[in-house]
Amino acid sequence: MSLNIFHRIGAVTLGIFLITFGSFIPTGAMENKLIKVSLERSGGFTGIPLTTVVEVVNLPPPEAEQLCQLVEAADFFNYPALITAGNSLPDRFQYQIVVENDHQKHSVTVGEAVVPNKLRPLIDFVMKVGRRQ
Amino acid sequence: MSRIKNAKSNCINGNAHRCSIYCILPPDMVDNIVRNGSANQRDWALQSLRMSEQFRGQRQSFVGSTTAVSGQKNRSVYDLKGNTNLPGTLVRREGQAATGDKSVDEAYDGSGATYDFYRDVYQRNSIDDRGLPLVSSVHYSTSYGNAFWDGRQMVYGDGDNDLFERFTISLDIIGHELTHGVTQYEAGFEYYGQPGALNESFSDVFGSLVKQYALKQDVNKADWIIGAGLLKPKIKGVGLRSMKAPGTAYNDPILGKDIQPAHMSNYVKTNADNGGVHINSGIPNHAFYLAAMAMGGNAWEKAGKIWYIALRDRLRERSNFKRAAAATISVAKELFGEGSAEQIAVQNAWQKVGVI
Ligand SMILES: [Zn+2]
Repeated sequence: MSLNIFHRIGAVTLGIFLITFGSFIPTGAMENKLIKVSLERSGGFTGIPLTTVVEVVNLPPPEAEQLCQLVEAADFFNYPALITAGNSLPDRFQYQIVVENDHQKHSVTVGEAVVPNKLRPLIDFVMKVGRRQ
Repeated sequence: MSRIKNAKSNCINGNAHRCSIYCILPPDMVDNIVRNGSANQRDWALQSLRMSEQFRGQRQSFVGSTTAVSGQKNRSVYDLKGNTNLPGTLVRREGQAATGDKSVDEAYDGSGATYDFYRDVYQRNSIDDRGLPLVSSVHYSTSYGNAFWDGRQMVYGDGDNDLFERFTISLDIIGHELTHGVTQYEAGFEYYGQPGALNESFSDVFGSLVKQYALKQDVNKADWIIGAGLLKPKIKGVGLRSMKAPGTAYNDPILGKDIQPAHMSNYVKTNADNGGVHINSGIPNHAFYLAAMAMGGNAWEKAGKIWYIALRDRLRERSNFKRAAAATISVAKELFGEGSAEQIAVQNAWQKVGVI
C-alpha cells in the first residue's frame, strides 16, 4: 500500500520535472542575454511590500556581469514557479523573483525560511542594488 | 499502518501545512521519542503530540470553567548577535536582573506581560496551555525589519536603519507574536487567504489587548494601533495597522500607504503576502474594534473573552470570515444570553464590515 503511494509521488514528481524542462528552451545559457531581474518582498510582521527592479542596461559592467553569474549559479530557470514548503510560517517574508532574458521569463515564489542556498545570493544582490537605486 | 497512510496523504494534499511534524511522524513513533529520546527530541515530540491532540479535538470546554492556573512563568532570552542560528547565546533567564540591552529586556518583560495577560484574564497556562517555556531570541540577522514566531519561539530583528526601530519596542508586537503560538495550538488557521487573515487578526487583537491590559486602558483610552513607536521619527505614520480605522496607519513617500481594508467590499485579492494575510486582517480587526467599542469598558473582559473562546474552541484550520462571525456571535450568546447587548454588538460589528 505504501509502496503504491511512493510510486504515485514518483510519477507526479517526474511529471512536474518534465513540464518544467519542457518549457525551457535549451539554447546555451551564455547566449541568453539577461534583461532584468525584479523582486517583490511581501509579508513579514509589517506587511509592507518592497519592490525592486534591476535592469541590466542600467548597471555598471562589473555588476551586470555579477548579476548574470548569480542568475546562472542559482540555476534559476529550473525552479518551480511556487515553492510551497515553508509558506505557512507566520510573519515570514515571501519573495517573488522574476528573471527575464531574451528567450524567456520565469517567476519563482518562495518563503524566506526555505530560500534555496543557491538562490540566496541573487536575492541579496538584487535587494542591495535595488536599495541603492 | 493505516494511521501512517492517513498522515501522509494529508501532507500530499497540502491541507496540513501547520502540522508537518504530525504528518511526518506517526503518533506511535512520537511516543517512542517521548520515552527514549534526548531532552531536545522529547521536547519537540511532546509539542507535536499536543498539537495532534488538538486535531482529535480532545480538549475541555472553556465556557463556565474557572479552574485556577498553577503554571510557572519560565522565560529565557537569547542574543543572536546578528546571526540567524537559533536560539543563540542565553543572556537572561527567569528571575535574573535586567541586562541593560533594551531588546533583551523588552523581550523578557513583554513575554512576561503576555504570559500574565493570558493567565490572569483567560486562565491560560502559557502559549500551549501546558506551561510552555517562553523563549525569545533578539538581534536576529542584520538590519532585519521583522519579527516572527517560528513554531517554537519568538524572534526579533533590530529593525532597518531608515524605517523601523527594534521590533521589541511595542508590547503589542510581542503579544502578536506569542499569539501566533496560541493560534498554532488552538484554531491552527492555515496561513493563506481568509484563514490566514484571521490568523493575523487574532494576533493583532490579542497583541493590542496585552498592551491595553498592561496599561489598564479601557476601550476609549486604547490607541488601537499595532506597532506604535516602531516607525522611525521621520516616517509619516502612527504605526503599522489601525484597528480603529484600517488603511490610515501610515502614508509616507518611502513606506507607501497603508492599504488595509475595513470592509469586505475592499477585500484585496493578491498572491503576495500569502494571499494578503496582513492586508485583509483589517476587516476582522475592525469588527473586533467595533464590537469592543459597543460593549465599552475594558476590551479584554467581554469582547476579548468572546474572541478567545472562539479561537480556542470553535474555529479551525479552514475557518473563513463568515465562520469567525458565526462563532463569535454564538459564543456571545452562550456567555451573555440570547439577544444580549453583547451578542447584538458582535452581530452589528460583523455586519458593519460586510462579512454578514
Ligand atoms: Zn503575524
